[in-house]
Amino acid sequence: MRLGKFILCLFILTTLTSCKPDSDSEEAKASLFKSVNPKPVYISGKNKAPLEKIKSKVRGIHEIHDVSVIQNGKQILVAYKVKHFDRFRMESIEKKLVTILNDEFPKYEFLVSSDMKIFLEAIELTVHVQKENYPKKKAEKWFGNIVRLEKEQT
Amino acid sequence: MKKELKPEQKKYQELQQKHETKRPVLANCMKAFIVGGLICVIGQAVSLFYMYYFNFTEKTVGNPTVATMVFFSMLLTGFGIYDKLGQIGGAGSAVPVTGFGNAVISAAIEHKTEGFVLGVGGNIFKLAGAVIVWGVFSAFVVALIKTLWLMWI
Repeated sequence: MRLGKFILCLFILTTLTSCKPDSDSEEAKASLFKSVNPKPVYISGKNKAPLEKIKSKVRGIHEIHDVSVIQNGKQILVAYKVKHFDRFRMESIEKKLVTILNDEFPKYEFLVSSDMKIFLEAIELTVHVQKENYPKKKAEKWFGNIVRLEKEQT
Repeated sequence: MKKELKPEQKKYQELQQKHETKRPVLANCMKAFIVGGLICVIGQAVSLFYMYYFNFTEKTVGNPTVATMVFFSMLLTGFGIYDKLGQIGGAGSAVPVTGFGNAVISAAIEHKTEGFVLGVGGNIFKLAGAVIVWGVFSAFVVALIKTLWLMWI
């Protein structure tokens, strides 16, 4: 009995500690529990969108408490976190956000997500891009991966 | 229609009601709420763990989380911890998916003496089998209705 418990503890510990975090920056860890308010990021594209303006527009919706904006070409990824007790109205909030963004900035294609994982990845990408000489190609590929993750269903 | 009780029976019932200990319904509800809530908090932590360390989104994290929680409750049942939890929490420990793992393993332990094939193998899903059949069958019926409905429109 004792041995069994010991083996169980050992098993759980080894399984948990052998994982290298998929998102391992301080900001990503902090974003699990509180608002981190990341800077908008511009990776590439012909014309830079008014990212700060987009961000403040999204933050203007009072149910949303944290938002990350990333532009790559025509696509703009908007990942946001909804206040806990407003999560019951997740879908209507998303609808509202999409209509606001498409009305105000019709030139761009918006990818909107309230998913925690997308937010984590967006933060991670933001942290990496802000480092000096982070290759643009890599950032673009990462952005593509996030978009694919967002579209995944099962 | 209720059968008329004889006077002695009535008398006995009154006596019995006087001595019967009252069930602490409210306290039981609170306990179930707390235990069930704690299990759900652990589940939330597991799903955050999967999202943080692996490539799962909120949409896809459900399946691995359920599997892990069932696995945990299976282990706890085997070590005899889940039974005590069930004694405190009642429905709070049975309603979350962890109750499923408990139902599977407790049946397996109960029939261990009858051998591994006919005992454990034959009875492991004695309690949980109904849940699986009910889930699969109701999903089938709902899918059938939805398909027909969509064909109609």
